[in-house]
Amino acid sequence: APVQPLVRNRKQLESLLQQVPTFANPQSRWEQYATPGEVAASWLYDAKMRWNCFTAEQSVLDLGCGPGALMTGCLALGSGYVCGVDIDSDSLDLCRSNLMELFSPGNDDDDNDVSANWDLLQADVTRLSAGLVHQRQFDVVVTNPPFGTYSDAKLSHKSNSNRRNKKAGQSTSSKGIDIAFLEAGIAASCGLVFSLHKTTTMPFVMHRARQACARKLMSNDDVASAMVEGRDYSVSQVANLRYNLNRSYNHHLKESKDIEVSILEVAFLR
Amino acid sequence: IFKISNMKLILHNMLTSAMIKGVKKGYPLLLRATKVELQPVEFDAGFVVHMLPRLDWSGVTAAVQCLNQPDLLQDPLPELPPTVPDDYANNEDFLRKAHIALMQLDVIEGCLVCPETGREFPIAKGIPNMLINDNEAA
Repeated sequence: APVQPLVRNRKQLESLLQQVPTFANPQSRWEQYATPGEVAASWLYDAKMRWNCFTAEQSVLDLGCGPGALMTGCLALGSGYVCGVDIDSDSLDLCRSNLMELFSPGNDDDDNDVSANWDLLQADVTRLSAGLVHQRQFDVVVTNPPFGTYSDAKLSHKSNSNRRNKKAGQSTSSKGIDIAFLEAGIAASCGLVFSLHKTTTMPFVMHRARQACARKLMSNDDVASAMVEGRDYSVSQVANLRYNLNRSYNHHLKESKDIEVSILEVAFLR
Repeated sequence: IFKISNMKLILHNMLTSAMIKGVKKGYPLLLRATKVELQPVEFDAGFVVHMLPRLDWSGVTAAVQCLNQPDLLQDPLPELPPTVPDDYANNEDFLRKAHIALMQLDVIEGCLVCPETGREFPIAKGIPNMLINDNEAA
């Protein structure tokens, strides 16, 4: 049977993604918080409507995949191949079991073959560009990066997390990590990049996105030339959402807290 | 009916060890597999045609060659031409073999090896670990 998307509409996607089991003990050293199902569904479904992306011929990269809500959505919408990257072994274990659970044959009543082409990679996203042989390997990159709210001073108090950070090879400063994720995404994409950021940071994030795009060279030219906004790429703020960081991410929150987030869209037009 | 596992050779095709200090190219990574399975993934010609221009075909053939070990796989490995044929977009026989190589051979246990330093990156439960220490970084 030809590969069919697992979901047929936004409601089904939302329902599916809300079921994705999430972190039992979010690790604050990685600023882990899972993308809520309804946020992921809205985000991905709107993107699909706008660009007709996540099709069977396309490849997708999820930077900082966590338990895999975004990956699940991209696969459910019919993507040909989805690769998720995360630094944390526990997240990857959870993601792997989530993806195997949701896409195993027993769950599919209609006897359709669902897209089940995915891989997971344990890596430091901030070092990923150096570790990929080509830029522009993926049609779509999605990322819900750490917000990068910790200063060096705050992190240095946590001696255990510092030791583990050093062992895993990640820089101890997480300030600017959201930009590092975005830049890794821009490097890895030949089509689209979608990333989620705090709304208050969006002007700065968009500025850095434009800088990264301008540095990215045109791929097919013999003489490498810089990209021009409007002609070769676009950078847009495409959605504003309210996001609830609840009490389970509790080392610094006394109660649940709403934050405003926005989705950044980078599109390579040629 | 299919089982789900990883690591697919399409991912191997993208990875280098060039984030390590002193490594010039770090590609392709050597593939030392101890557990491999062939998964009956649905063939999709459009996906292969779309992806092929972005892949390094010599990396694909090198990876399949690494898997050509006695007792590693019950099923035969696909026979791949040394270069991509000019008519690849319409060459179903070629596309099917490429699809097997890229999407159906899952390396579940083993390691990837930097061709310049010998540094090993383990693959466990189908997930390659490309983390390096700070002192290894370029």
